Amino acid sequence: MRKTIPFIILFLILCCAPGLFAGTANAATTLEGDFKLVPAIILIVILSTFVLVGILNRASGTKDYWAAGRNVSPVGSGMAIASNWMSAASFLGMAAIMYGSGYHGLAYVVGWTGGYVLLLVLMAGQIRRYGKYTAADFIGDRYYSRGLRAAGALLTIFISITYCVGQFAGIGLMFKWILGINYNLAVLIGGAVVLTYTLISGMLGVTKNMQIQYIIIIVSFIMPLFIIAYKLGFFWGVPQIGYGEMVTNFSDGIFEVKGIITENVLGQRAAILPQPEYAMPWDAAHGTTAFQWIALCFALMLGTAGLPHVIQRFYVVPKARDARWSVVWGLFFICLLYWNAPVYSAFAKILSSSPDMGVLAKDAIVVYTAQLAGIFPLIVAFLAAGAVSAAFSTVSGLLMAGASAFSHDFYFNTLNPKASEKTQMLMARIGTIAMAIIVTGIALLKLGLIANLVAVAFSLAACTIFPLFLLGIWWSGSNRQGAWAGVIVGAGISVVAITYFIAGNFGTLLPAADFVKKWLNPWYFAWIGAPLAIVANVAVSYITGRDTPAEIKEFLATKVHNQAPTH
Amino acid sequence: MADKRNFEVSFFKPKSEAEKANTRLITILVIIWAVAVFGFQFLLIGVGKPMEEKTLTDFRVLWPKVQSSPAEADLQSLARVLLTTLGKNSTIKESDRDLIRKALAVTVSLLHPDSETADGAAEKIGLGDSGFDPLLKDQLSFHYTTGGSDYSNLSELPGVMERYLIHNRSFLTDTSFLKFPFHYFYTAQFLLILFIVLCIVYAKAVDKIHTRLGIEE
Repeated sequence: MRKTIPFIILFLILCCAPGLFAGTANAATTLEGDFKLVPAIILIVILSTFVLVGILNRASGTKDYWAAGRNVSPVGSGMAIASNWMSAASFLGMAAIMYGSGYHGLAYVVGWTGGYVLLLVLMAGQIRRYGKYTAADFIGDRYYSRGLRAAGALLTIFISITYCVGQFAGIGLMFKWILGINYNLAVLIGGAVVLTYTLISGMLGVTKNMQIQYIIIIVSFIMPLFIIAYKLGFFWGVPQIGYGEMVTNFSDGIFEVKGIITENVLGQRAAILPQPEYAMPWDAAHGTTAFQWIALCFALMLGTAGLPHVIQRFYVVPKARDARWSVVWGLFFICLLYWNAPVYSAFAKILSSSPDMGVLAKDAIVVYTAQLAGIFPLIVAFLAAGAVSAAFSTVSGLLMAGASAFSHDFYFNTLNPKASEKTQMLMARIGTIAMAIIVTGIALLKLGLIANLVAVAFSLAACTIFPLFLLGIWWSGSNRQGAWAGVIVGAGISVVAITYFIAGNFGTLLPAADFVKKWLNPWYFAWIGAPLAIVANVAVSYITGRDTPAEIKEFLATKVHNQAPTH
Repeated sequence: MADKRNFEVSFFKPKSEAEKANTRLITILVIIWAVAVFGFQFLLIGVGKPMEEKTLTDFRVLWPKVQSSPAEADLQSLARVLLTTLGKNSTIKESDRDLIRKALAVTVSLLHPDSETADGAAEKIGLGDSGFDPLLKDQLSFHYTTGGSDYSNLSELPGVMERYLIHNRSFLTDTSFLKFPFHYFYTAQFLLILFIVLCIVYAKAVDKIHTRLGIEE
C-alpha cells in the first residue's frame, strides 16, 4: 500500500491540473448557481482514485470482505475509524447545527467524541478478544440464540439505514451544489455513485480507502479556515483558537472586522449585530433547554459505543492492544476535525449576517462560508469534494455492516447455513443494493437536518445494541431471556419515538404528542431508553436464574477478562 | 467439568488481579469523564442567571413611554432597539419577526408619517455611517414597511423581546480564556483534549498492567 500512495498522489495532482486552470475562470459569485466545472473535476478525480484503490485491494473472499484480513496497524486503523466515523454529519451537520443553535450544537461535538472514552474503556479490547466478525455474531454467540443473532442482524441493518439517510442527504446537497441540479436528482445520482463504489470494493478496499479519505477530509476541511481567519483579521496561525475572540465579541456585536476583507463575496458587510445567544448555553432564543443538551449528549455517547459499523472496526485489528490504541488514534484524528467544525459556524455567522442573505440551507453552510469569504475556487471545490468523501467513507462502512449483517448473520447463520462463499458474497451485494435503494427513498423525503437524522441512528443503537454489548461483556449473569427483554424494551421505546417523529412529519397528531416530543424526542430518546433496556435485561436475567451456559462464562472469564483457567 | 462459580464475571466483583486493576482504572476514568462532561454542565445550570441584553433594558424603558406620549427621541431609540433585535436574523421565528416588523412600521410612521423610502426613515431615525448604524440601515431597508398608527395590537411584543434578549449568564460565561467565553472554550476545546488524554492514560495503563502480570494478547 505504501508503494502505491506516491502514485496516487501524483495521479491526483496531474488530474487536478486542468481544474486549477479552469478554477480561475470559474470564480463563484453566487452560492448555488449552475454546473461547477472545477468541483466536478476534483470530485471525479477523487472518486476515481477511491475506485482505483478499491480495485487494487479487492476482497478475495468472505473473510477479506468482512474483516480485511486483520492486518491493519493501530495508526492505520485509527485513520480508518476516523474516516469511517467522520460523515456528512461531522463535516456538514455539526457546523449547521451550531450555525442555527449555537452552544446547543456543542452537544454533538462532545457527544460524538466523549462516546469514544466509553467505547475504549468498556468495549474495544474485550470485543476484539471475543473474536467475532460482526456485531450480530457476538450477540448470537454470547446469548447462545439464533433468534437474537437474527435480531442483531436486523437491528444492524435498521441502524445502518437510518444512519445512511443523513449521509445521502449530505451527498445530495453536495451533488446539487456541484452539478447545479435539483436535490432529488442529486440524491439519485449520488446514491448510485456511492452504491457502485461500495460494490466494486469490499472492506479491504474500503479500509485502505478510508486512510486516503481521512487525509482528503481533514486537509480539505481545515485548509480554508486558515485563509478565512486571515482574511477576517483573526489569529490565523491557529484559527481554532483565533475564532475565540469572535465568539466573545458576538455578545456585543462586531461592526467592523479588521482583516483584508470587510465584505463577503456578495458585497455584504462582514459584521454582526449583538448575538449573545450564539455562545450562551441553552438559550430561549433557540428554543433549547439544558435538559435537551444533556439528554442529547448522553444519548450520542451511548450510541457511539453501540454502533455496529464502529464496533466492527475492532475486528480488523490483529490484537486487543491494537484495538485499544486504534481507538486512541481514531479519537485524535476525529478531534482534529471536531475542533474545527464550530469555527465554520462562527465564520458563517459573521459572513452571512446581512438580512439580504435570506435563509441559507444550513447543511451546506461549510461550503457557503468558504464561498462567502471569497476563497480561491479550487479550494472551495476541494472542500465540497471533502464533504462528499466524508459521506462516502461512512456510507461504504455502513452499507458493508448492513450487508454483512444481511448475508453473514441473517442469511448464512440463520436461514441457510449450507450457503457457499459465492452465494454469501452474492447475498452481501444484494443486501447492499436493497439498502441503498431504501435509503435513497427515505432521503428524498427530507425529514430533517443531517445531524438530527444521524442522531436517530445513535439513539437506536444506544437503546438496543449498547446494552447487549455492555452486559454481555461485563456481566456473565446476563442470559438469553434478559437479552430479549432488553431488546424488546429498547426497540419498543425506539419504535414509539420514531413513529411519533414520522407521524409528526406527515402532519398526523398522535395522542400525547407533546409529551413524547419532549421526553422521547427522536434525537435523544436513548437518554431513558438505554437505561431502561439495561434494567430490563438485568431484572429478567435475575428472575430467570442467570443461567448463562458454563462454557460461555468460562470463555468470558478466561479469554475476555484474563481470569486464569482452572483446567 | 469446571466449577460453574469459578467463571462468574461481574464488573462489580472482579476476581483476578487483572480484572481488579482494570475495573479500578475504568471506574476512576469514567468518574472523571462524567464529572468533566455532565458535572460542568450542571454547574453551568446551577450558577447561570437570566441576564438581559442592554437592548431589552432600553426596550423596557421605552415601550411604556411610546405607548402613552411618544416623543421623537424615544421613537428613534425604539426603532434602534427593534432593528437591533431584527439583526438576529434567522434565529427569530417568522411569526415573532412579523410582530417586531409591525412595531417598527408603527414607530417609523409615528416618526415620519410621510416617509416612503427606507432612506428617508433612516434619516429620521438618525442612523449615520459609523458604528453599528450601517448594519441597522441594512436591517431597515430589508424590513421596511409602512402602516399602523399605534401600538394597540402589539401587546405580545414584550414577551417576544424577552425571548430573544434574555440569556443564561454567569462567571463561567463572562470569564475570558484565550479570548473565548470560558464555558465555550471548556466545552468546545478542552473536553476534546481531556477525552484524548483519558484514552491515552487508559491504553498505557492497561499495557502496563498486562506487562506486570505477564498477560499476552
